[in-house]
Amino acid sequence: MKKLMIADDSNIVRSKIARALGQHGLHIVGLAANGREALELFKSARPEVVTMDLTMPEMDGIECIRKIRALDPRVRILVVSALSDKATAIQALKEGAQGFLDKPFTEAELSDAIGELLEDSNHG
Amino acid sequence: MLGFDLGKYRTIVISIALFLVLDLGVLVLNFVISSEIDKDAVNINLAGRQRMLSQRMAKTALQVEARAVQSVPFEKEAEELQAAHSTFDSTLNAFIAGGATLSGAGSEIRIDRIDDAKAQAILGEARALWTPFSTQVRALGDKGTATPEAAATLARQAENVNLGLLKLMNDLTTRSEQLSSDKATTLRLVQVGGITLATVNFLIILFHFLRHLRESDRLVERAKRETDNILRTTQEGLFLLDDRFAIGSQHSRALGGIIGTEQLAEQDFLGILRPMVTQKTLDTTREYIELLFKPEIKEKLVGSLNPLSHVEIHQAHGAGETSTRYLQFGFNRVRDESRITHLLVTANDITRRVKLEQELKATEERARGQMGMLVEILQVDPSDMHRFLQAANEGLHHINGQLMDQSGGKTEQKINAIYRITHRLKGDAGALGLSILAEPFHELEEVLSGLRGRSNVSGEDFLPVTVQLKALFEQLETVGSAVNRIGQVRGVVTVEPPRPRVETAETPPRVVGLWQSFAMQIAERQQRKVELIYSGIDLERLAPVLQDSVNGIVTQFLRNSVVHGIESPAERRQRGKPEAGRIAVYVSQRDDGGADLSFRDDGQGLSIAKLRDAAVRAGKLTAEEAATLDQRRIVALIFEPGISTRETADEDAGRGAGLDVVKDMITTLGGTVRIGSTPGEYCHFRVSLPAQPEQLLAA
Amino acid sequence: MDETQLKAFVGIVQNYFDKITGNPAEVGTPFLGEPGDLPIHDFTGVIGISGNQRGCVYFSAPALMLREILLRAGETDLSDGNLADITGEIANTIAGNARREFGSEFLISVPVVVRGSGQHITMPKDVKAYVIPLRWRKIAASLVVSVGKA
Repeated sequence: MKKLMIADDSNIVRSKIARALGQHGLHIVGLAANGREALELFKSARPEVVTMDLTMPEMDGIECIRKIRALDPRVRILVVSALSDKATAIQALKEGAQGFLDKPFTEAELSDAIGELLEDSNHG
Repeated sequence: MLGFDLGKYRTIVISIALFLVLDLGVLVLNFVISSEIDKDAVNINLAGRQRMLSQRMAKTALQVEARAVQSVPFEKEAEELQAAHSTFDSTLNAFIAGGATLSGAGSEIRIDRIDDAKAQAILGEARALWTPFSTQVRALGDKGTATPEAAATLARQAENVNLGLLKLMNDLTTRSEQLSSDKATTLRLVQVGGITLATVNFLIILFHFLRHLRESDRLVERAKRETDNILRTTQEGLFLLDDRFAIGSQHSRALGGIIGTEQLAEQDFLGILRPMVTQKTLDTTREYIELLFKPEIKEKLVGSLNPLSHVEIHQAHGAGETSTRYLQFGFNRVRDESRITHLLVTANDITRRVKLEQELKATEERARGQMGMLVEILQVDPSDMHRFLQAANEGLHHINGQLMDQSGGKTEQKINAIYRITHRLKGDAGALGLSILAEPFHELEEVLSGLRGRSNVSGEDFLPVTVQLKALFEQLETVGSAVNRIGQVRGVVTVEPPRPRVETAETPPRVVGLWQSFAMQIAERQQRKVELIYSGIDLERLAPVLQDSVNGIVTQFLRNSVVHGIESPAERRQRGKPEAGRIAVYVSQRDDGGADLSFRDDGQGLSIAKLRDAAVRAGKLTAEEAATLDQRRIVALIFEPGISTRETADEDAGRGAGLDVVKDMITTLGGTVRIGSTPGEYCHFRVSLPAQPEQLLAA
Repeated sequence: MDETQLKAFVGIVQNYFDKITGNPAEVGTPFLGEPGDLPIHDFTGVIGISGNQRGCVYFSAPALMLREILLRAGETDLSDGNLADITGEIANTIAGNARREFGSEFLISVPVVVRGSGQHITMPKDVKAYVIPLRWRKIAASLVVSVGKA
């Protein structure tokens, strides 16, 4: 069972992701409300999969992705953010995230995205 | 056979091998026969020499005789005779059995036996002549003295032998020449044969390959014609893009019209876009294309980031005239093995579609208006809604606080702070499915995104932010008052006795899956077990307003059923019911385009006593009124706001908001609801919704 | 009231300052104010708006700023009457330009100058007003637009 961390400053979104992915066979090891929290949680819980909002207080998603990737280059990151600024999202992918999911999303969309993200994760 | 597969080259490899074998064969034969001919030439020479030796011996024998008669010593002549004798003898022996002799130059050579019957017969005769003479010569020795009689005998013998040997050696020469000539003929035959075979082989190769070449040329030609036909005919712009942003050598003919310029092949794609789009779009496009060439990025998960999925382009047509169109570019990876070599780009002019969509959206928004908002509100969990409205209101005041602060702090920080709040609230509104609020938040976010990218932002530039903030305050107020207003309408509820229902099953529509998972979620929280069975039409056959309404109503009924109707598994066992409560939903379309909904659970039914208590608790009835009121009126109380039989509130129920909302919706739609229930057995809601005005207009 | 219209009002005021004093007014970040809590300085020039939308637009400035403007314009009479006059003139300019720019959309009244607290200014009650802070030579003034649906 893969370990999952959810980073999002909205409580509603966090619980929505947790509900959907808990059933998806992922073991939730951390819920972070901002980038700094996410980084701290990452260091202690070492999740293999992360869903990451981009606009968060304290430390934004992009910086957080960069730091997390430096700690573990194999981590799979799905950016889950509203598509207000494609350039920022693309920046996030350049920093090492592998996929992007537009907010708002349905549980099915989230499941599909995580499935796609984890595909061939053994040799990716 | 071979360690590797020759495939289509098998024939040519075999042909060439055959050609080489032939060549080699001819070469070897040539070599062998030539060397035979060489040997024959030597034999012919030597046979000639034998004639010369024979004559010499005869001459020398006569000289010896002359000396012997004059009693003069003749060592020199004797020696010459012996030498000639020895050479003749060894040569003759070599002809007959093979062996060594002296060459013309005096060196020793080896020759083979002459392998020919006729030659050997000649040689046999020669030997018969030679042997007695040879014995005489040997007997003479090289002393240089002999009796005149002996010398005379030898001379006569030599004369005789010479004549015979001359003839025989002549014959031998002739025979050897004959043999050599035969061999030369064979050699020519071999060469002619070899060259003929090689030519035939060459012709076969040529024929075979020409056929294959022509065949593959034909296939290539056909494939090219097909590609050309596709590229010429398709209405879509199609081309390949490499990782240096260069367009491939071919593209569909439609591309020129779509992009608006004809010089496209092998051009820089970004260079072509540059004059039509903003610098930001261009930069984003470059980065997006770069991303698509990175194999670790999931193609399916970045499609939504395509900056050209819907791009507004502006083109000048000389004389200050410009046109605005909407284009759509799609990018798909082209892989060779696992390497991403190109992107297949599709381009479409979607101007017409965009304009239609805009019109449609405007029309739809007008049509849905208040109803759409109600539907959205009804689908939100009341406690979530309450929390959200509060958070949104606080957030908006926070934003206004940021704007009000004129202390001259960093504009950038101000924008970022506002952006963060906006983004979060937009996300929350989206997560709750409240597009009526998510959209204006999104617009505000767009404005802020624009400000973020700029270096010199003045106070005036914040005007659109303030305008949008005001719109949001107003929208929030509208939603808030709609939430409050829900549940104020009465008089649409009638209660009727239970009645069985015939249901026709069809493939369950997608929304049923959502109901099922929704029911499961609540059941899990309430420690219940439920099973939802749907029969009836695909909801998509209903008008959109009715679809949404039926969905909203069912959602509330589900909540109500699981929380209030279905008993705990233990209780159900006790009552002899299966552990999992059964909920049956049935939807049918009315002839007038309206919808009928039947919702039935096999739970504990409505408890008149509990409803009475709840009504008294909520202050709707006095204890006396409650005791005397008709049962049907009591049942109708479940549609009153603020009535809940649950004593404590939790996420799912307890604030009495739910069925009152349903009634409000049904009223707005001009429909009716009937309730049937037997305590301990079931509860059955039957909702009838008429066709909606938008529907009639559209029809 | 949309962004373009607000921008037009702001532009009119800026243009006035620039033309009369040679120093443009700086515009702060606009915000929303509650009807009972809007910034009022010593002198306020109010123009009423009616028609499709109802409400008012006012320009309010402290006496200090108005005196400075008068001096810049070469005026030596700095009496309150003159301060009221210059306020009225600014409001008048706003009204005139506004009429020219969107006269077809609403009716714009003749300006009224109010001194001191704004008790006499009639505002739409339940509408949040746009407050556009102005700053000219470090002195703060305000442009307020409060318009609601008729």
